[in-house]
Amino acid sequence: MLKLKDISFSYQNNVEIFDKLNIEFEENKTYAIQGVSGSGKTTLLNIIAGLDDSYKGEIIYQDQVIDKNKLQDYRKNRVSIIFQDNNLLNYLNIKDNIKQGCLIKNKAFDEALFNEYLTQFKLDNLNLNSYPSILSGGQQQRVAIIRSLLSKTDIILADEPTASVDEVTAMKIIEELKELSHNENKLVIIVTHQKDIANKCDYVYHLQDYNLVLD
Amino acid sequence: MKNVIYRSLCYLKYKKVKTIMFLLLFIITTFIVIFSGVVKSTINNYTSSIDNKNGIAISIRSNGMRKGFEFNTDSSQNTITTTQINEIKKLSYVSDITTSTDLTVSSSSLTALTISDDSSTSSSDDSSSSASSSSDSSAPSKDKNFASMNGLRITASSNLSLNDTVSTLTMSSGTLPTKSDEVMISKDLADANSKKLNDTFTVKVNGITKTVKIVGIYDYDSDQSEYQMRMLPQNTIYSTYDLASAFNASTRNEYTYYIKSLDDLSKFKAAYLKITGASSDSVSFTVNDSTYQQTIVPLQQINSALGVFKVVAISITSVIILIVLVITIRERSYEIGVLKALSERKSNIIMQLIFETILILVCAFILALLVNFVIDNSLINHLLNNSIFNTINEGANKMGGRGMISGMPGVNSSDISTTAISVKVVYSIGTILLNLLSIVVIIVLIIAIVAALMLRKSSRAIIKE
Repeated sequence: MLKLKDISFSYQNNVEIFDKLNIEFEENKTYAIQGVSGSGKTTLLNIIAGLDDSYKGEIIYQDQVIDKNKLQDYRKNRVSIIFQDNNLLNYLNIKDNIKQGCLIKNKAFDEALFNEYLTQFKLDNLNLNSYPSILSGGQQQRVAIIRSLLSKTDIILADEPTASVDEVTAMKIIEELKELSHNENKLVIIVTHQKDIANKCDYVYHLQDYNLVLD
Repeated sequence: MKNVIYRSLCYLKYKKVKTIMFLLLFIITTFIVIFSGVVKSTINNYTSSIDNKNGIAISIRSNGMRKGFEFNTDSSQNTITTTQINEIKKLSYVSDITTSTDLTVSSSSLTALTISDDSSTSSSDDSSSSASSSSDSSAPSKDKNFASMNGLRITASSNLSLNDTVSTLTMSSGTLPTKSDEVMISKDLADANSKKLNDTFTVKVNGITKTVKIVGIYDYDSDQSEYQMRMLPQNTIYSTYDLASAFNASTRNEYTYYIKSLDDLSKFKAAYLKITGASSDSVSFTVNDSTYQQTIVPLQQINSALGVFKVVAISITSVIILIVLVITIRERSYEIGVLKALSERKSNIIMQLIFETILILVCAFILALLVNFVIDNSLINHLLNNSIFNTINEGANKMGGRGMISGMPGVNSSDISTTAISVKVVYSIGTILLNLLSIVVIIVLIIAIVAALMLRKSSRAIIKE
């Protein structure tokens, strides 16, 4: 579904991060990317997300090379990102926050599906008019996940999604993401430094020696 | 765009305190900008209206004539005809001409006051020979002169007012005469003759008799010098110039020409000499623009002082706004990062920041405009009068005792109180909108630059900032 071909990347100070990195991601699967600090986990995620275009090589999505000029379209229509925290806009209420995903990506907001996800992610007892500040870290992550799902993107990228929640919640979130990839036909890529979280995923890759190595 | 506006409104609602702080900051800034603009346009408007209306007074007197007081009516002084006056009036740089005439009159129904031995004023028993014209006599004696001084006389002026023409008078009752059959007499004269407002009496000049109506009664400040007391100023009847014309009076004692600018003086002199046919050494021109200067100079001082104040105030508030804007945008880095991660377009993110600020600015602008509307009139008039008052006070101290000599417009305490001006506040919509536009442009530039610099980084980096 998504292929990275001969991806090389260096920082502006010529520190090399990747050298001809090759990997193929499949839909319906959950991938974990691990690595020591500074190994380039987030940089890789940014490249996959189309947020950083200073790489060499090709990103191939559904057998088509994505032109660097069209990265914005690719990111807008195909990719959702979940961060470790601060995923939500604090001045919009919970419902408006979820709606933003659809509004920005110019996609219709499916009210029925929205209610379905609320039940599925156990958020149906929340006051949707309240601001995100009343939510726990786990609830915030779930709201962000619902936002990604409703914007109907094929690729969900999660950058340390469980770093700011307790272990039980972390496990729940990973379970939910995994379930999602299997049931909803999504490609889920999670960057994490937590080994037990990574082990829950279908595949675990390590960033070492400028390349990705399967665990 | 709808979504961008919606997010902006949600943000302003969520950050109420910050919104109000911004509103106050913008109100102060826009108030200063609008106020200084209004003062400038008001002063400019007032200055040009003074230029056109009052101008600079030029008195012309024939050389060699006894100047002094107005009762000296020598016919050789009257070398100018009505036709010539009208010709001068047509000159584009002449804004006005005022004339005044003193006429000696007799009246069968009004008795002049005379001086008794103890120097106090009282009613005369002899009513038949109350007055006569000095020009009737070929060799006026001292007594005759005095008779003319003490008799009834009319001062007819084309611009009669308590402030300028009769500065030592105060209105006791009634109004200033405006029609040809209306006069104003002194309280002493009215009391001595048992006359009241709206009473009529007859006056005779040059063999012509007219019935006139008393529309005003004035009080004469009795605290005058002995010399002035002996002139019995209470015997003066004030009328419009039309009354003098009705008597076919050919004697005009004093002409005052008003020209719009001092630059036109040499042009005026040349034109005057050409029209009247007078030789340049037979007349002298006395320029008196002291009243004009007393008004204009402080106005110009206020204008330039306010210009400096405006620059300083706007610089300070601009720096404050710049700092606050930069801090606010950097504070919101994580939101910007989230929006960018949600693949919101950079232009929309910048647009949201700009829209929020401009919305507050426009509200502040409207409020500042309302505040200006409410207080401008009193504030500007207070500011101007205060400043003019001070200038005149200084001038009065410098001028010392020159006060009332030979009809020079003197400066004394009564003048200061009557110099209070009332300016009409002028709003120049163009300037106000231009000022608003320049503030908007500056704010848009600041936001666009700061936000664009921030948006160059990745959303993750922005969030972590």
